[in-house]
Amino acid sequence: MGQIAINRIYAALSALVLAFVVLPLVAIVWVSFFANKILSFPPSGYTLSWYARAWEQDAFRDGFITSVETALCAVVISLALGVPASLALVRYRFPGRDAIQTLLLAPMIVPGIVGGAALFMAFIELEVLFDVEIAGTMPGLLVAHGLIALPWTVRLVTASLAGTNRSFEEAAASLGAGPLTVFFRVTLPLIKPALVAAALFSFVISFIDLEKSIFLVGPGRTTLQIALVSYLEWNLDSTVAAVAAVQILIIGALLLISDRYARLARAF
Amino acid sequence: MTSSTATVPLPAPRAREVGRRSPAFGLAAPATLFVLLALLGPLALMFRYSLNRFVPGQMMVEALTLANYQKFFADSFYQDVLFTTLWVSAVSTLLCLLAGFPVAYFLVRQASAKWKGRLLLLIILPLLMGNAVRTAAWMVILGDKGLFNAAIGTLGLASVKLMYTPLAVIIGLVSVMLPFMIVTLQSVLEGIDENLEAAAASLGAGHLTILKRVVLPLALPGLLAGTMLCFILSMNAYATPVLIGGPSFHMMAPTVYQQVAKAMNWPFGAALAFVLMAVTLVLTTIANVLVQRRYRRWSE
Amino acid sequence: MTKPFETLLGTPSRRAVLAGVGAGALALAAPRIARAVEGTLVVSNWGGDWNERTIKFVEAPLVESQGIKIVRDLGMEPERKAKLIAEKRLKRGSIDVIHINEGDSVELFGQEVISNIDFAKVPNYADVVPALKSKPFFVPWLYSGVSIIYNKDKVPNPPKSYEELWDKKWAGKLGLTNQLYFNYIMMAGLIKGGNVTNTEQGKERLIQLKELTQPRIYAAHQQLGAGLVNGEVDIAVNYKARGLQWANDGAPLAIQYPSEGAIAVMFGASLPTRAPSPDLSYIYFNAMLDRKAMAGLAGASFYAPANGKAELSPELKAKVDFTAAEAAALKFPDYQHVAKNTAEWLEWWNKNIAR
Repeated sequence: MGQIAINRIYAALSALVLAFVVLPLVAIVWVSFFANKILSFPPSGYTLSWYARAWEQDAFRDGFITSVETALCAVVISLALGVPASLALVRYRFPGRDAIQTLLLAPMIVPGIVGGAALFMAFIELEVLFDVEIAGTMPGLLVAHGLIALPWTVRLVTASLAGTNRSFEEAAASLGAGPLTVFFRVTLPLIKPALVAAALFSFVISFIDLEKSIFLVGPGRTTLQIALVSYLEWNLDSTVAAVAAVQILIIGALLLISDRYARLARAF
Repeated sequence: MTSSTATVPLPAPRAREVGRRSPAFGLAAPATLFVLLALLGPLALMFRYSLNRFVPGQMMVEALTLANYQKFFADSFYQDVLFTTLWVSAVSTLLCLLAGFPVAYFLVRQASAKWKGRLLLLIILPLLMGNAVRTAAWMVILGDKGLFNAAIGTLGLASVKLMYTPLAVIIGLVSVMLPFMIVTLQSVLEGIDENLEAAAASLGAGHLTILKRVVLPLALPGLLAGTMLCFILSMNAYATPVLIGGPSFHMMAPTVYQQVAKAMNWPFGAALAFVLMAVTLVLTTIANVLVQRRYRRWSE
Repeated sequence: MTKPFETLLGTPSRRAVLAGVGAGALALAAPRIARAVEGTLVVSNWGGDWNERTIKFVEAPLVESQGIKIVRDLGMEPERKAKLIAEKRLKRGSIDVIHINEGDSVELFGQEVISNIDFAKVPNYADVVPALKSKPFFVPWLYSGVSIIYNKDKVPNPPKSYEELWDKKWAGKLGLTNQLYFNYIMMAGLIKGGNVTNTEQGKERLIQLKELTQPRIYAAHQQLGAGLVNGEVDIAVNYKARGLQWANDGAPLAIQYPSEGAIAVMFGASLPTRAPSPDLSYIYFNAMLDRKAMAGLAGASFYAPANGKAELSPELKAKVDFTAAEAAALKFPDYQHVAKNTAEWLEWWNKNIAR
């Protein structure tokens, strides 16, 4: 088989798989214009009214804001904790290094529903013991979201650090730069794509989380995912599709902008 | 530049850094403490709950009993739930691997840098729908009178029942996990020198031989990382099995939720959670050890 | 829309809320600023349309208009309930009003996380249909009955009773929803002259129903509704209100009241034991039962209003309300019995029906 034929096979297979991955997205955008009152196929006609209805639902707007705030905080937490830890894991050898690496990746292994319920009960116990209000507060929710985002940062940044050339850092150090200067002026720029990818994944993981948040959301802070699930309890109509379409449009635009700035593709 | 989302084996730091441990502890301590306090602490509490006794109408009664674990091992229903979870996860993961590899290979070896970036974004974007909305999409596609059946109907084929079947759950899970698999695999392939493949080809090796002898051995750690990630994600899946699998299809995470939130049986829910996590942990560890051993043999 | 700043800082602390109530009390005392009540009321409710309707007919016109700020904790019932129970051990309470169904109110009362309500402080309670006033810790609000909903184009002779569902001719046509598992157990116990606590026999009969008709079991009410609309099933057993909602959405559906008497389902609200501002909760309860609000809710939700004096148009009343005979025949579940058994029933249901 010639190289061209092989390339064509790969291209065809990729097109097929990509179509499959994108299919739900295309379907949901299409469905968002269906006139059917109850979600079903085929469409009885087309309408824009679901977008108007979605806009009228305060719960979705509030939920979107809450989710974006939460996700942004999760990004900050996961980078602030994950980047230094990755640096330690890759650049230094110390007792318990492997154990710490495993530990930092562990939040991935724990089912969201279990981690969320456990965290909620722990907050209750803490409040009983120390009289600090955490359960149902924003900090409580942020702890959970920071936790599920952290492993992604550690994965991406350790991998990136392991692949960077140490000689730049050493050169800077030998020219008299202090460790902080080396980190901010040399190391960070080197791993910038990984940082952007870590931020992106942290954001996504937090934004789409449902299970981990179920027990941790509090009054006035319902995340978008919970608002969507709650909505579906009473109406299975295209409103949720309209919300999803708008949300993807907004975030997709943000991604394209950040791609221009940081070349996301190089980060993965 | 290449980097990897895989948990790569950490390189040995250079000699003069060994012993320079003070900054390392300072750097790693916040994250470590955070995970200890926010994950292991609560899990320890949950484990303690799993040893409590359930009395209907009360949340739990303090006790020190293994009854909840015994219940799991004495009741074939819950073992079936675990078994279903295992085979569905295994099949979904395998499909992700098979479907993800060609895409990753295409992105790395054939797509231009610009298109690679765009395609990767396109792959990640559907994730942002969230599981609830994605499920609504699958309902419209897979329903008895859905898009898929309408499509095959125009070809003169009889409609098939897909929604609320294990197949539908697998389709749903694969669509959620594929992006993670593709991203992981492509980062690993990125690290493999294209010249190795060219060299093998110039020696007359066919493409499949090159894949088997050159690419796969080198990509093994990354394949393992992607596979384990997908396996863990599907073992823990909640929304997809509930909404696409329907009430008659039982997997572990939804069962945990049902016990905790609906039956208010925290002790048993906690016990189920620990069975699930233990099984996942043991299986991924075994896979890790086996593959690492194989990898070492290959690389020698 | 919630202001981001407040979202970040969380709900006002209890002290701030108390201060608000204090200020409200002062304001009440001052004759010139009559009726201006201040403070924050935290309402735990379902999301989606249920919440939108609550805001439209009750919260905005009757509570927030008085100057009370409402903060909402929206979510599905199981987790809202579980949260309230788990928070029992805390000194503080976070919720002032919790929207729940009658069954869960019994369970929550058993756990001592909701309290008896002083109905003297809820003037509109006097107008509540007497048959609904059975729980001193529950404000009845909207109710319906588990009825037989069918596609009138495809089912010319629908089952007239629950009992007639036990028939091979409905094989593959019957749809149930997982959320109503204990209602179905009660339903099966109820046929042939049984009663709502005849649940052991009910379970046996439900297995027969499964063998006879192979019902499709949906994960949620609305998925069942979609199944009726797209023809996956022709008959559903669900709340009358849901059937009316689906018919209103354009599906060719009709509703049959079962001759045994429909199993009643009642939604309402309760007062958490540790409610930070119970005085405001009472204002809220009274607003819920307002005649005009109830009429609006009945029209929008298709649930029958608990307030017997709700001003419903004759057509609406004929549509959503029950006739005197139907209302008298409603079967109210024994929720003590349910609370005792529900964990076991759920497990039984999973092992025998939903698999």
